[in-house]
Formats: sequence, structure tokens, C-alpha cells
Amino acid sequence: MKLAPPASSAKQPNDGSRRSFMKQAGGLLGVALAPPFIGQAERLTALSKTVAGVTPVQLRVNGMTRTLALEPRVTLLDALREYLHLTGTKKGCDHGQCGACTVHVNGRRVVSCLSLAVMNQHQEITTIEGLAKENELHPMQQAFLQHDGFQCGYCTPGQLMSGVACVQEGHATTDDQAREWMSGNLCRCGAYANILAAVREVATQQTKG
Amino acid sequence: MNNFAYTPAATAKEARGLRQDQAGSTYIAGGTTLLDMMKANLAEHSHLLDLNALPFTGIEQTSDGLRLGALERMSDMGKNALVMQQFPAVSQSLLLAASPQLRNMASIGGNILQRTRCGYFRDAAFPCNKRVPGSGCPALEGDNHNLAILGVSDSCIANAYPGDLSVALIAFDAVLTLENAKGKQRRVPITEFYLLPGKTPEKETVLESGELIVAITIPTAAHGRRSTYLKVRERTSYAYALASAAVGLDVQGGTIRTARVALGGVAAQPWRSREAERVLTGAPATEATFQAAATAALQGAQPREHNRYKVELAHNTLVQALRQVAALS
Amino acid sequence: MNAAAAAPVPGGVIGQPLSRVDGYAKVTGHATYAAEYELPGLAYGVLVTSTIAKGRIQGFDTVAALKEPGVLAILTHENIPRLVKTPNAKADQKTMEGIIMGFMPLTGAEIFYAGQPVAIVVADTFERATHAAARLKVSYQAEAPIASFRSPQAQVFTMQEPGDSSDLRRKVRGNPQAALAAAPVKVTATYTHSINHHNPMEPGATTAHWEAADRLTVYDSTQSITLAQQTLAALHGLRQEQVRVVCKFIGGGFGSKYNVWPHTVLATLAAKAVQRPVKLVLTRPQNFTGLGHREDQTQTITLGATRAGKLTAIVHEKTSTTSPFDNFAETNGEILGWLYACDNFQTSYRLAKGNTMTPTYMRAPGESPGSFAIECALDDLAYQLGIDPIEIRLRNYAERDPETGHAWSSKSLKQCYARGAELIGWNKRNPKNGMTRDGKYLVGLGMGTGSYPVWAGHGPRPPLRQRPCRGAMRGHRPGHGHLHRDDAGGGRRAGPAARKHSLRAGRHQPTHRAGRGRFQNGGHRLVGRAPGRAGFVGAAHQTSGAR
Repeated sequence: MKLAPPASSAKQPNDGSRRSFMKQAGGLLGVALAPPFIGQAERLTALSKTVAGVTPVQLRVNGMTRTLALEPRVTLLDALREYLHLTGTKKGCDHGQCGACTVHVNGRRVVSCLSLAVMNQHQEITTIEGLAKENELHPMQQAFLQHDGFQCGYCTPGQLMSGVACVQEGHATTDDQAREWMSGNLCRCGAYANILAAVREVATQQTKG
Repeated sequence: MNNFAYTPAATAKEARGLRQDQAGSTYIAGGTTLLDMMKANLAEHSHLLDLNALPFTGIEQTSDGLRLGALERMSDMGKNALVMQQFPAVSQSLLLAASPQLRNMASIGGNILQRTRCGYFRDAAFPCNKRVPGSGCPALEGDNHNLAILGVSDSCIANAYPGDLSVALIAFDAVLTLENAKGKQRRVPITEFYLLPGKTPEKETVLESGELIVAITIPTAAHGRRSTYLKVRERTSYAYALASAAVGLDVQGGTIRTARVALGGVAAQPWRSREAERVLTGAPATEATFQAAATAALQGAQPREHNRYKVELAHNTLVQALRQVAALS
Repeated sequence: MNAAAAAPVPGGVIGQPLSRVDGYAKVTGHATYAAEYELPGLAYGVLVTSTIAKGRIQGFDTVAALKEPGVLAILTHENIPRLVKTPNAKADQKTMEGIIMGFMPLTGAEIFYAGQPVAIVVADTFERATHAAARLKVSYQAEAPIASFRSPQAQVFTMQEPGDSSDLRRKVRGNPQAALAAAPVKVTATYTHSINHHNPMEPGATTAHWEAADRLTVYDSTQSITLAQQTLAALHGLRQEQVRVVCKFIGGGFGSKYNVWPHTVLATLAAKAVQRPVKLVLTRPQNFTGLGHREDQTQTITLGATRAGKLTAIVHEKTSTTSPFDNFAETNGEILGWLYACDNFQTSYRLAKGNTMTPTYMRAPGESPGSFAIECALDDLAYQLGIDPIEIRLRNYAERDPETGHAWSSKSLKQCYARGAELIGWNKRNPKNGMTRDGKYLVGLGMGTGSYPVWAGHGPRPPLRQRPCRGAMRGHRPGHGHLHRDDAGGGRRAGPAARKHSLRAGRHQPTHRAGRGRFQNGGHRLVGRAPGRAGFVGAAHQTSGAR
């Protein structure tokens, strides 16, 4: 006997409400016979973690935990911009090609447009809004100001997040290395030379300690 | 994207079970290929099964060679000391691919399964035999500047695998460990993993429905240690290869004892060139040998209107890679 | 700032390492762009664009799209609220200075160009609107389109009337054909490039909000705030003061956001239809067909000269693709008429209608591709005659404006040449090809002249095809996107105001890309400033090739 149909075919309310469709173990399954290779318990456990439709999702962003009601298909980028209203992270291409959406997840730089919010629960997410500490700018932000590392500013948050990680990774020890390891961030205004100078300055500062 | 359901699998059994139960479900690891495809309306799945908690990680020395868990990230594998030492070409193929951000996200198992960049495949407004079998191939007479010259057919001239890692893996006889929905494993040499388009370009690999790549094992070899991956592209960084070569040589006293050659960016699939290896094996490690090997590698190239340049480019790329490896100590 | 910058003008701001006033906002992520405004009841609009370039829409099937929850409206030409005026009527178009296209999509079933919007889907979340848009089925009757002036079916024509945005009639000075026939030396070359796309990092984006039936606020990514205001008012039959356009920060434009494009107008109509604010952001692929582009083109230039390299004739012709409903081309030939002294000059334009949207200005519109042509041709001439490239330019130096005979308000080009030559080590240049090496690289030295007109106006509404005149000169910062021309007045021909350049030397990343035939250069770029007619630029280039 087959299990209950997959969640995606369940009707969703078209009344603007955001009800959760979290499946409860056993509730929707009725009597289910599992194929011999997987235990009933395992199947129930798996399905109890299944999320479908608008569901509470917990994101820890810049040190603060927020619970949002999101469909699984919402990307981390859109969760930040449209649901958390943290619009510092930018959407340039939505396909991971431009780097404007770069954030840190557990200290590693990623493109948030190709990551689902629901897959980033309970991780430490840092966005551009979390770079400065209260009134003090991060050295990278300071360096961008000093070296005029931007014009229109739209690629800037992504450049900054990528630059901070690049230096931390030890990938900005020379100009050529920094260029290579910042190549995932595009800038149409052509501020590359100044971005490079800013990143290299911070890398040099950090080496001097 | 459609409103899919999502389940994070805690065990492989869970993942496989769900995959078997849910028609329209698929696995997600890094998501950099899958979400890209879904956003472009090139794929639709009702249920995503998250593999990231599964134990397909680790890079370790085994009796069969260097074993890499399929969930290892490109960035971690690329900088791993064992990989860099035993297979520099593999490390380079990883670090020369994509961008730092993508490398942090993408799994190597997913990388092996990435899809073509052919513009007609990627635009659902066009017919495409790979996307919709039997609908036609506009690339044959259309814009084919970045498409393949080796292993192609009249049904499809796409580089089904436009990336780098598999080119290096296929050069060094990597073996994939696959696990099916019933938990049964099989080992498939990567040289037998990819399928040429022929009349069925929609079939790109031998992976069966529900099967997972769980590990990649690369047999240790002298020609692996002395290897390089040369990638030629329009930009210095963050672009696909116009042509690439993964080359390994075991040279003793000026003579090539064993050679491994694979080409990327120019073939329908990662292209292991036995033709080049036959010329190289037992021959002196000289320019004349390298040129002859490259000529042999490109025999049978079938260029189209806009990708003719790839014949010479691939030839020179291979020669250059051979020179580089020969110069390594 | 570049350490090698020349000494700043005393008492001035040129050359000073000033931090931008908007710097803090930009580096902290607090700068707000057009798609970043939180409004009560905000809904999301997604554009559906045609999958054919020419033909007709036969019908829409909304069944699958409507299965998506949260869909508020699917708008097509069949049901979208009507504009009071559209540019589809030429007479009306002339009153809408911000509209460059003589065609507003979603007004009929006909498809004119690749990427033409055919529907907007509005829903309560971005994901739902996007997916419903993907599910909308549109059936077409396709016809064979014409892609370019190069297509065999293209019909190439010349303009007898002034064009839709600039005068594209042939321009003649002196007797160029006779001069060319008599010239002891001739050089001819043809330069071709594909469509260029601006692709600013920020996609086209509009958030439209009807605060009342007759009060419209639009948060738009635009280079022309007042122009957008006036144009939207005209389209909706409102008074200018009933429309508010807000653009505090623009994520790049480069000319693509100078005009008012369909998505901005459609966003206001969608907001009207659903009675909620609507945010509409173009996808990156939609940016290629939604914000204009620099037209694909070919230029043939012929120089006639004496054996001493003195120009006796410049004959230039450009052929390019325009849309089915407008005659637009950047005027490449303008700069050729006054960059160098030459008594006999001709520039002409040929167009062909293709199934693309109307092209638009791309920094620097006309001057950029036009300069490429003359500078390369002049280099060819210099090489053919064995004359130094700087020397040949000095021999053709225009001491006065060749078009009008007027004196320049100022011109420091000779000083630019000298300074550039000094900085790059021009005196060590070997005129023979392939003689200088740097490791595995062959090194060459080259140079070129550039210029850009100063556009200025006076008064709030000068007549439409106003020639540039002396007046208040405004600076604007590249990428900042705010064209002070709004203060200086309207007029479709008026272009961006001149840049204030600082004198700086140093290595530059290549910034010019002319289609596939790109040239790569890094080197020293020197700018001289000349208020009034034009700024002159002498740029010395160092190119390297691997061998």
C-alpha cells in the first residue's frame, strides 16, 4: 500500500494565510507498509522532518535567531531580502554567476541565491549588515572607503563579504592571488583596481598583526 | 521554482527510501546545479531530498588508492594535501573551476553530474534533443562556438560535461562507487560512466534512477603524481574551458613509461585520449612526441561552423600541458 | 587613490582623495535601491516575455498558472488597465521625452521584437509570481524574424529625415569624394561589432505604488528621475506633480536606465490592476532585452592624406540595426567631424529594421565606437607612412573647431600627448613591430585620442533637438547614475553632463570591449579638461601579447 501522496500535491490555502503544512509522523500516513529494506521507524522519522508549503524556518543571521514562515523553495537570498528585509545582500543574477549575493555561512563565503533558506537553518549566517560592530566599521569596509572601492555600490556588499573571507582564507597575499580569489565577484562600474587595493591592504594589515 | 517539499535525510537508507517512494523526487547536495536548473525552468521536482548529513565525506588513503567521499566540497578537496601531492591535476582542476563561493558549496559528486552550457539546452524556447528527445538540434546550424568537436553526433553536439574535475578524474582512471535505491553498491570506472550522445543525447550517464554517487577512488600512480591540468578560456578566471587538458606522465631517463591524457571543453563528454597515450607510451619526452600525440588526439574531430578554432586550440593546449608536465621534476 | 596621481590643482577638489558622501551607506548595506522598499501590502510582479521575435500571440492558457496559490492577477493585452497615451502613436510619442521606443508592449497581439513582454503575473510572494509566470502558456503564430542588418532579408536604408533621437542624415563638409580621389595616400578599414549590453549589476527594477487614484509614487532604478516623472505622467494622463519618482541609489546604468522602459510602465499598470504596490524586477536574462542595448554595427572609414600624413579627407559610414518602429542609431560620426583638422569630411548612416527592441545610448554613445574607428585608421595611416602615431596626430591637430571655425574654450590635448609620452616612455618605443620583449610577452606601445562633448542646457524645457551650448556645466560621477541634466533641462538629445576628470596616471584595467574583436589594453590614461565644447583625452596604451 502506498504512502500518502507527496506533500506538493496537497492543496494550499489561497486565502493569504500562512498555515504550516508540517507533516506529523503517523498522522497523514495511515497504515503504511514499508518495503523490506527500510524500517517503518526510519520512514516515519524522515517524513516527520519533511517540510512542504509555508513552514516555520529558523535562521540565525548576524547573531540573531529569527523564525520566518517560508516555503522550502525560498532561497537564502530572498529570505534575507524579502522576509528579513535585510536588503544589503544584493540580487544581481539569481544564478550564482555574479557574486553580488555573497554571504558567510559558518564563516565560509557562499552565493546565497543558490542556497535554500530551509537548508541553512541553525547555521551562523553573516551578511553585510553584520560586518560592522555597532559604530565601528570592519577594516575591510574602512579600506573600501579609503581606496574608493566602489561606484554604484551594488556589487559592494558581495565584494566586501567575499573580500573578508578571501583574506581570512589566506588568499590575498599577492595581487595576482587576490585577483584570482576575488574573481567570483563582478563589478560593472570597473572598480576592480580599487577593490584589489582595499583587499590587499587589509591582508597586509592582518599579516603585520 | 515549483513549490517542492523538502526532507533532510539523516541516513542513506532514509534518502534512498524516500527517493524510491516519491516519484518526481531528487537528491540535493550543494544545489548549485539543481537550483540553477530549476530556476531556469529546465527541471521540476516535487520533492528534494537533502543529502548533506550523510556520511559520504572524507579523503583517505586506501589500498585501492585515494578515496574521496562524494559530499566533499570542491574547495576542500582542491586544497587537500593528499590530493595535491598525489594528483596535482585533480587539485588544479578543482581550483580552476567556478568561483570561490561556488567551490565552497558544490559537492564533487554533484560536480560530476553537472549539465551542459549549450545555449539551446538552457533556453526552453528552443527545441533540444537532450531536453526533449526527438525535438531537434538547433546548434548544428546555429551558434555552436562553445560546443564539442569530439564524440558528437547529428543529434547533439553539446559538451554534456562542461566542467573540469571529471576531465582530470577520467585521465587517472578514477572509479565511482554508486549506491542504488536498494542499498546495493557497484563500482563503475569513470571511463564507463559517461555516455556519448549517439541517438539518445538525453542519456548522459549510466546512473540509474535513485542511484547516488557515494565515493570516488583514484588509484595511486606515478603518472598521477607528475601531472597538470591546463585550462584555456576567454577570461583569466571564472569561465568554462574553451579547451583543457589533464595530463600525467611517468618519465624515466627521458622516456615516457606511462602517460595519461584527457581533454575537456572540446568533447561531448570528458575525453580520455587513448590515441594520444599510445603515441606517448614508450616514446621520448620531446616536442616531436608531444606534437604527434596531440595530432592523434584530435583525429576524428568534427568541427562545425563556429567551433573550428577548437581543433588547433585543443592541439596546442595538449602540447603545452605535456611540455609543462615533462618539465616537472 | 593612485599614488602616482599628478599634483592636485591648488585649492580644488580635483585629485584629492575624498571619501564619497554615500560611501558609508554603500559599504554597510544601507543604501536603498529600487527593489528594496518595504510597503504595506507589497505584491510581486514578474514579466513574461515572448519566446518568438516576430509574429502574433494566438492566445493565453492560464489554467496551470492560476493553480499557483497567491496569484492576484495575470495581465495581458486583453485585460491590463489602459494607458491614457502610448507612444504607439507617433504624435503622442513626441510628447513623452523619456520613451525611446515607439511601441508599448501589452497593447496588442503583435510581436515585434525578441524579448517583448507579453504578460505580467502578480502574486503575493516572489516565488509564487515567478512560478505562475513560468506556468503561463502562450501560443504564438511565428513568422521568420530579421535578426540584424546582416540578415539576407534585411532592407538597408538611409535617412532623409532626422532620426527619432538624433540626426542621422548624411553630413558633409567640403568635398570629401573629390579630395579622396585626389589623395596621394588612402587607408580604408571596416570595423564590426555585435550588440553590446550594458548589464549594470542592478537589474532593471520598479516598485510602483498608487497612493490614490491620481497619486503615483514609483521607486525606480533610473538615470533620469524628472524625465521618468514627466513621462509617466503623460502616459497616465496625470500632471507632473501627481507623480513622484524616487531613486536614491542606482546600481549602474551606463545609458540603459536613461529612458523609461516598458517594465517601469507595466509595473504601474500592474499596481493599478491589483490595487496594491507592485515590485517588478527584471531577471538577468530579461535585462538583455528589456533595457535597450548598443546596436550591432559596422563602420567603414576611409582616410585620404598627403605623404606627410596630413588628412585631406575623412569618409565614414555606419550601418546598424534598429527596431521595427523606430530609427535609432548612435551618431558615431559626430566626433569624427571635429577631432582632427580636416577640410573634407563626410559621415553617413544606414539602418535596417530588425526584430529587436530599439537600441539606446551606451556610454559613450557614438563617441566610443566612432573613436575606435578613427584612431585605428589613423594608426594604420601612420604605420603605412612610417610616421610616429603621436606625430601624425600633432600634424592633424585642430587648433580651432573644424566644424564651426570657433576657437576652443580651452584645449590641452598637446600637453596630454606630451605628458603621456613622458610617463609611458614613448621615446623608447620601437616603431617596428615585434621588437620589444618582456619575458615571454611581446610589448607594444600605442596611443589614442578621445573626447566627449559637454552637454548643457538652460531653463526647464528647451526645445527638443537642442544643440549643446555653453552654460552651466555639471559633473556627474560614473556609476552614481544621477544625471544632473534634469536640473539643466529636458530635451531628448541632451546627453549626460561632462565628467570632471582628475589628472592621473597609472595602470588601468581594460574598460572597452567592442564585441568579439576586443582590444585589450592597460596603461596610462591622461585626461585633460576643457570646459565648453568638449573635454579632450589623450590616452597612451600599452598592449602586450603572448608569443
